[in-house]
Amino acid sequence: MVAGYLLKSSFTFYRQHPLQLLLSVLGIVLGVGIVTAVLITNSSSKRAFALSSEALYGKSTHQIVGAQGVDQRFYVNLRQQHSHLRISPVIEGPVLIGDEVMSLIGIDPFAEVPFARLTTNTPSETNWDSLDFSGLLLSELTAERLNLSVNDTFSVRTANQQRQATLAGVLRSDNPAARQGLLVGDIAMVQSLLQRGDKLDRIDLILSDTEARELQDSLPSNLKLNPAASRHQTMLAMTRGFQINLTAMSLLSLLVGAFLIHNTMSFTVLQRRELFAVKRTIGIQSRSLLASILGEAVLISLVGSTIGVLLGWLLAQQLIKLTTQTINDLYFVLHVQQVWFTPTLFFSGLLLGIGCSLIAATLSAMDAAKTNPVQAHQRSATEEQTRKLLPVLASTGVVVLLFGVALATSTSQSLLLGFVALMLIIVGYGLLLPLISLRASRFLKRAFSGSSPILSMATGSIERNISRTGLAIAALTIAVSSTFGVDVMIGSFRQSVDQWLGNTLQSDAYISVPTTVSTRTDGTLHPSVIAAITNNDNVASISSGLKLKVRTALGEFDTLALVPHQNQPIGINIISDNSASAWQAFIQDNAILISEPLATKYNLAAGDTLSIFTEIHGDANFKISGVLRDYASSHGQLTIHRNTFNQYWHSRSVSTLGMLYKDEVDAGQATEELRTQLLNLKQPVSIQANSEIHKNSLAIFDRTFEVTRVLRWLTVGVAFVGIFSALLALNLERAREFAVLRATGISRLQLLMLISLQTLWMGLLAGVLAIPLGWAMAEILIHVINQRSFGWSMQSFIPNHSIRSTLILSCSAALLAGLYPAWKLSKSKIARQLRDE
Amino acid sequence: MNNTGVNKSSNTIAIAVSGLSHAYNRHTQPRPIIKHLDLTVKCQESVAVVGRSGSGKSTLLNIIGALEPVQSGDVSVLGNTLTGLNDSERTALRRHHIGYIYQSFNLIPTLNVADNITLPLALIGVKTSQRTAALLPLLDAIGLSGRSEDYPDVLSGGEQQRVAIARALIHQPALVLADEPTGNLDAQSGRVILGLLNELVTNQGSSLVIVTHSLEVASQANRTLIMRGGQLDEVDPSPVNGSFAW
Repeated sequence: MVAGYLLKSSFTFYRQHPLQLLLSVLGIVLGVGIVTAVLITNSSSKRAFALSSEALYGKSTHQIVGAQGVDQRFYVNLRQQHSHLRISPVIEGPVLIGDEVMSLIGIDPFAEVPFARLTTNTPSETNWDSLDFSGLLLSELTAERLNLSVNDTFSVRTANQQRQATLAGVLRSDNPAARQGLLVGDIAMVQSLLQRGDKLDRIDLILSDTEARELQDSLPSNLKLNPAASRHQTMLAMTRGFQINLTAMSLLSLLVGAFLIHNTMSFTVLQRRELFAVKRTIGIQSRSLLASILGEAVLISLVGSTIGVLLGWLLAQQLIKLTTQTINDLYFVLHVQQVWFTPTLFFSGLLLGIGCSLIAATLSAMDAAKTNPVQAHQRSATEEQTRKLLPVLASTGVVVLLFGVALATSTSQSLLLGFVALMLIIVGYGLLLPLISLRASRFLKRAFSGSSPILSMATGSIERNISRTGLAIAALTIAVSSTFGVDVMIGSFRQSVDQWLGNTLQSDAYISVPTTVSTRTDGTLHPSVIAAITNNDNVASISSGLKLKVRTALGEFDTLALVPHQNQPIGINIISDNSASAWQAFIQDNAILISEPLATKYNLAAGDTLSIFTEIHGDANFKISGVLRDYASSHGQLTIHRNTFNQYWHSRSVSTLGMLYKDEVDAGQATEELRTQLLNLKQPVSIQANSEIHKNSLAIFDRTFEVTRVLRWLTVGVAFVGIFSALLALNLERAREFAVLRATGISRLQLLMLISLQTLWMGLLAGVLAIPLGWAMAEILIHVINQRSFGWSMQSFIPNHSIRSTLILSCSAALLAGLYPAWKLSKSKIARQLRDE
Repeated sequence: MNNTGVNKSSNTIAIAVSGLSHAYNRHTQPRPIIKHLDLTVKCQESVAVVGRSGSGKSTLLNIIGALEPVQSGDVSVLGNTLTGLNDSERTALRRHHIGYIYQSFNLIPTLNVADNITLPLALIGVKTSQRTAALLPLLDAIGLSGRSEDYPDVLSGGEQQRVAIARALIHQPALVLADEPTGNLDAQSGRVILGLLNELVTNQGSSLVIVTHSLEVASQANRTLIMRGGQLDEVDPSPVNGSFAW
């Protein structure tokens, strides 16, 4: 009975304040939209990865892998000796069709049948004959996208060559998204295309446990039998940090959103204090009031969250492209860009939105339920009550803040604790803000006393309305600080990468095989290229490297087998304390250097040993002599001296060369001459000056952070809606006061100035207060969240523009948000406002 | 103060209303509230307007105070034809020449007593020292000498209305408009306020239009008009029985 009246009353309030209702809903829509978009994107990329894995590995249960591939003769022997086993040889590598990177997999069509990688294609449409020498199979969707039909020819580019291929057939699947970006060819053809000689990448097997045990015992020491799932898990683990980081960013947006929702809900409650007092006077129980406000919050958040989840789905369509690009740049080739929007994700987004709104509304609802029927009519009582509460809030804030700082500086490596610390610091600081705002406004009021009445009123009203203005300033501060924090984090990261590139790229120019994937070097240099460089008169010194993947006890890692310039640590950033001895051990004692993410993730340090699966000696222990700074891979990287490498692996190939020119040589001109000289050689190679690599690497970095930037701007959007809503409520509430001023003789322009000055001051104050919080957030993001996600340490750096742009953002958001109510109030009829209670 | 161009002599006309009609839209149907109303108020004259609730008294006051637009008819206030004034000119007219007193006081909650009272002077650019000089005798006159730093919400209703009167009069306007100034006060406080208002208005030589339900209040004006059927009729308040006939 009572509930019906209360609900009707709430409904009428929002009908009378439609814009506030709209803004409340919009705040939830944006907050939920961002988080849901990230949830959908993360889930979709995992699903895409699972589909890609399924396409690549089929039904295989195990894989035989070698330290540097598997000799083809071993496969032939295995098939002869164990004819009953279901085994299939595989070669896999990235290729380019046009500008698109695809995974090329070479298989034996006859051995392939039990693995079900090709079973869903239609045999009648497949030109099996052409598969022998130039034919490739392509997924149906990819063929459609590339506008290719069976028997059409197309160009395939690998690191070392370009070749024409024929579309022999299309791969169909129950799930159309599966097998996207997958090219399948006969093993011999792919071997030749990827220049693998007589090597296989792996042998896929379908084995029972007994068969697996028997086979394991019979394998030579340079081969291993691994469960197929382990590779899938390893690759998933590679992207874990990236996805956690993305989730952390989205949760930050949600936290800002929740704070703004609390702000909005608080305003609607504050505005109705007198109404609640009347309701309490006529005998409505406080718990009924509490329930009615929470009911409002549920209804508003239900609408907002539903729209927000749908918005998230739309945003995810764009985010998936950005994240797939990053995964391709940094981790592995991932083609599928389909968004999977499952009921679980829908309800997760919905629950998250409603849950956050309920938590945010609870404080306001409890405040409303406790409304004192007598005091509620006295605005001064509310303000006095608030002013008395501020020191208590601030003290609580200090405790929460200190607890957050303690948690952030603890030695724990838990990401969750890192994120909790970030939340506590934000909440703690948020509780301090109203008191700081009050003190600052008092100071400003004193400073401007006796000045223009407009200025005096603008500053005075912030202090006198602290129950409202304190909330709005706190909301704006937290929203703006999150953008400042992210800005500083990206700036610090960029600066660190920039410095690292400057320190690492010490050669004047580098030569490598053109890559199919931006951050990888796939091919090896032809001996004629190496000879041409070695004999070049301009070159004073050469460093060389072979990039490969090695398997260790901790997983598979990118590895560089390095011949340094003059055996000196040129371009090597050893960050462990023992840099001189580490280098000596590296060049003389077969020790290896590991990258910082590897050291951090696996708690490794100089002096530890790492077991590596080598080609010649099988599993061998290597001493770690030092830790290198390396921002190229978050998964971890090993560096091994070429002399050491040659003792354990057969390969003598080189994939990259670094050149130092003689002092008298003009580097630019020498590089150009070299470029012309190498054009005449058989192998197309890429020659890049260090500045070009530096620039390209930073471009990849910027692309990697594109997702973060998008999330940052979405957070600004959430903040703006929140602030707009707060200032709108604040100013409309004072409509009568402004009408009195107009009646007394304040012109429209002066009223506009008064409101704008007030909002400008709030914006400025919020901007200034946002900087320390933003800086603290950046420190946690850099030294806790990022460090625990990726393993990278870096220096904090506040970009020059950040403080300026934060203040501009804060002031302009506040000004813009204040403009509409100012305009509306200056246009409204004075007599009507004076009449309205 | 700043009343340049306004003649306060008792022979000149402060307000001249002729053929004024005004309607409110209610569910798109216009509801006429003032119909072909005529009114003349001389300078230094005090006029009380009485009438039932909703009869249009406050609307008339708002139109004269340049707060409501003139829909039809002619309204001249202190020699200014309101229909010919734009918003800035109407604002300037209010700022310099009109003082407004409301039933619900309408003090600015974010300004203290001194700032509330001196606000009209600040708006017309009077220096701080002159504002203080004008404030002190007025504070004394309204009996709030020691309360200049207090904020409105710590004042009683009567005190708030005294501040409102001081604010309406500090710039010595030629015209004071009062809408139920004693409506929210008890009888005793109402009498004190009314006495104060009359005394100050008389001293300054301003015209006063006062809208009231109270015939006791009305009886203190030079003339009493009754608002009936959208028009004004002159009435003698003394024979009406009781103080609150409406």
